[in-house]
Parts: sequence; structure tokens; C-alpha cells
Amino acid sequence: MRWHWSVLAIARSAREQVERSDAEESGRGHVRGVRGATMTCKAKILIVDDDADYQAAMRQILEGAGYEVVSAYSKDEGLELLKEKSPDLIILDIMMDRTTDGFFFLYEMKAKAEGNKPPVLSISVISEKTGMQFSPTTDGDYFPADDFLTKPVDPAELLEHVKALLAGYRPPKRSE
Amino acid sequence: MSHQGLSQTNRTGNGSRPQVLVVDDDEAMLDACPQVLEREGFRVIAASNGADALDLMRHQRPDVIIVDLKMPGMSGEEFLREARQVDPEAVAVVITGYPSLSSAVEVMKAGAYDFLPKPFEAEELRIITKRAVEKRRLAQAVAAVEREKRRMHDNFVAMVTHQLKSPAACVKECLDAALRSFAPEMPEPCRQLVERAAVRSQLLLKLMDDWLTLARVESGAVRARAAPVEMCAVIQQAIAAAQEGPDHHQVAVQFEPQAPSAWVCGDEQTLRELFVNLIDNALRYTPDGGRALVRLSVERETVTVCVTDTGPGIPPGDVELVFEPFFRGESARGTQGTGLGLAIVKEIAEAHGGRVLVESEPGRGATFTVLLPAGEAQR
Repeated sequence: MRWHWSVLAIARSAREQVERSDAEESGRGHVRGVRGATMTCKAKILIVDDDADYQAAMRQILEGAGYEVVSAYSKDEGLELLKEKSPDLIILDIMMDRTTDGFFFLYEMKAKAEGNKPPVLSISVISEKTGMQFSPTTDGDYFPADDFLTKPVDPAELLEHVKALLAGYRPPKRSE
Repeated sequence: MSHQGLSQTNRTGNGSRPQVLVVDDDEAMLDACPQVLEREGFRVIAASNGADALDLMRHQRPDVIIVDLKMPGMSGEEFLREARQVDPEAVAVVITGYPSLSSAVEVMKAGAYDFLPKPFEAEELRIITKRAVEKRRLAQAVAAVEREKRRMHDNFVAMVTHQLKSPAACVKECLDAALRSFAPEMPEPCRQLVERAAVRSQLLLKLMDDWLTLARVESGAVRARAAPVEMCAVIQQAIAAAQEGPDHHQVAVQFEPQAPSAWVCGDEQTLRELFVNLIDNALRYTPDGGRALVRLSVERETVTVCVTDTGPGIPPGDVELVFEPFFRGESARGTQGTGLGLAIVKEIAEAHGGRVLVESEPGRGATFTVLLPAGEAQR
């Protein structure tokens, strides 16, 4: 799924804000805490996907850009690691062992009253081609992920979306 | 009068013994018909009036209904109309003491399959009931085939999507990740092979996407989402999307709409896909520095879009074949396409009640013309 040019422009300016505090290529990514603070930490990304090979590819791309990657291979493992590791972002596959696992992970995560609720980037082979659309702008109501990409993702595009989400950007949901 | 109790297994009056419902206020008929029919192996339930008969129908699913046209209270015709609501597929035979052409017509209009004039022989009743049962079986078989086709189609989509696309997507992602991280360190022959693999796996994914699109449009899924669509905007979006494709930025695309707006009734996303495919096709066959032209015009009932390229053109023998799935003619050598683009264009045009035509001469490029029925503007 390609983003509209204006959205990519926003993503780039979000990235530039991050770059201000540290060199982007050294991969230190997201600044936690008060903007302008001198402390920088590596952002932590939790990937929930039962495909170990796909996880390996994602890990290579994300670690190469300086992120810390945590892998969960099932919905339950995902919920456990969410609690344990407090990731800054979750990358979630919609369909895992059972077709509905991705959905249930998201619902259970959002339903928990306390704790960490990081943004969710959902990634799947499902797209409009299959007659379904899982975009926050059209289906936000029943699949409340914050953003959506189709597998396979171009590595540069993946990193753009990750940076934008970590910087606080959220694609708009359809108002009607 | 045998009244069978509530039974789920009766629901489709299935296979073994067909079930017949007899509705007649005449006691003699209620006595004789079941006897005649049961000897043929039918199960028979009976009612002396329309209301009772409808009650029976709500609990069971008779294959055939034999009903007298003239009854006190609810007439045979009224009963049939109600019966249609309960079971639109029940096959009805009407018994009438007043056979005439006009009453026959009335009866058929009320949804009866056939009629039997009184008085009739047992043999006539048997024959007509058997024929009615056969008709019912045929309708059920057709419905079952439709369901199976639907199931297979849904499974096909699910299968292609998950089972085939998942591993293909994984391969592409691994190759992309490897190239991104390690290309500079790879020996050149290694890097080239990995590049080739990445490109081919991308094409493989596009092929699956195209195939899914074709299946989706052929299945009629598109018709369900019809709404007013403004084509000038759609075409501009399609041009932008097609130009993002690999190696396409060296060819200019000129859009010449002869109207400020053009409305069609259909599915916006699918219509956009039609033009992305058509323009992508034009770009693929137009040499660098060349130009593709898209013209739009609106007559009262038709929106016409012509896409012209300055490529090598299509040999006369191939012109009829270009819309066939997987057809790739001589001029396609050296380009990378799935062979489904034009098949998709044709399928989408036809799903919208339109057509696509092609004119070409070797060496003089090609013009594809899409004709779509004009629709109402969105208010």
C-alpha cells in the first residue's frame, strides 16, 4: 500500500525532527522523554508474527537501522513480551496460527486498562486485491491498528513508517 | 391426514423419499391423493386449508405442493403466494375444476409449475408429481453447484492469498533485507544473482495479485460496490500510479479530457486498476523519450477513453489475442509483465457494462479504447 505524497512529506519532517537530536545513520532513532533532552535511547520494537523467516528479514532491516528488536511467534507470546519488555512500537501480522490471532492480540492489548499501549503497525499479505481492506482509514473500527503495510514491504518504506509512528504520527482515520 | 412432527432432517426433503404436501378442502381428495402418492414411494402430508398448510410448511420442507385452486377462506392462489415466502423453491402443482387459458395463466403467474384439471386419473397425478419432484431436484442440484463454486472461489482466494503469497513475500523480504544490509560487501556476481532473484520474486507476487484481481472481477464481487465515480480524477490517479512503475519515468503521459468531468456508475478502485493496467501497458511498450496520450470524451450515454502509445504496434494476427490471459506477443520480448494486464482491463470494462477495443498497425503504435456506460453524477 503506498502512502499519498503528502503523508510521506509529514513522515519525512517527523524524521527530520528526530535527526536533529542525533545522526540518523548511527541508528539511535527515537528520543524518549522531554524534547531536546540530551539522553537518547534505542527504540524497542516488538514483532509479532509466526513466520520465523519473515521475522529474520525484518530483524535484519530494523537492527540495521539501529532499533532493538524483540520477536514473538504467537499471540500469547506477544502479549507476554508486551508486558515484559514494554516496546515502543509493535509490528503485528494479522493472520497467524489461526486466522483471527492478529485481531485478538490487538483487542486484548487495547482492552488492558493499565500499562503500555504502543502504536501498532500491522503487516499482512492481505490487501485490497483480496477484496478486503485493512487500512485504518477504511476499517479502523474493527481492526484498530494505527497503520498498515502489505507484505513484502520495501525496507526503506518500512523504516519511514516506523520512524513516523515512533515520532507520534498517526495516519488519519475516516471520520464517517 | 398424517401430520409429521417437527423434524430438522425433513428440512430439505432430502434424497431418499420426496415429500409432498396436499392442500384441499375436499375430503375425498385428502383421502385419495396420499394413497396414490404413497404407493409411488412419496411421503405425504396433508391439510384441508391454506392456513394449516402454511403451518406445516414452516416446520417441514415439502418438495412438491399439490393445492386446489378453489378453497373457502384462503384461496389456492393466496396460499401459493404465502408459500413462496416460506419456501421460494417449493414446486407447486395446482388442481383446478375450472381449467381455462386465463386461469392457467393466473396459476402460472402465482408461481405454479403445472396444473392438473379435475377430474383426473391416479396415473396423471403420479406422472405430474414425479415431474415436479424432478424439477425440485434439479433446482437443488443447481443451488448446490453454485454454493460449491462460491466455496471454491473463496478457498481459491484464501489459498492464493495466504498459502502462496506468504512464502513469496517472505522470499522477497529476505532478499531485500540482504541487499540493503550487505550489497556493498557482496562479490559482484553474487549481488547480481541476488538482485535477479529479488526482481523475479517481485514479479511472482505481481502475478498472484493480477490473478486475484481477475478472479475477483470475474466473480462479480465488483458489482456489489457500485457508486458514482468521477473518471477524470480516477484517470489522473492512474497515470500517477503507472508512472511510479520501474523504468516508466522516461515516458511522458499527456491527458486530454474533452469534458471537465465524466461520471460512471461502478467501483472506483477497480476502475482505477483498469486504467493503471492500460497506461502501464502503454508505458511499457513506448520507447524512452516517447509519449503516451490519454483522451477522454463524453457523449450522452457513453464515456470514451482512448490510450495511445508510440510503441512497436501489434501484428495483425495478434490483435485479437491481446486480451487473452497470459498472451505475450512478439513485441513483449524483453519487457517484464505478467501477461494478465489486458485481460484485467477487458474483464473490468465488461463488469461495468462496457467494452474495450484495440486498433494497431505494426510500427505505428496502438490505441486502446475503453467505452463505459455513463452514470449519474454524485450529488
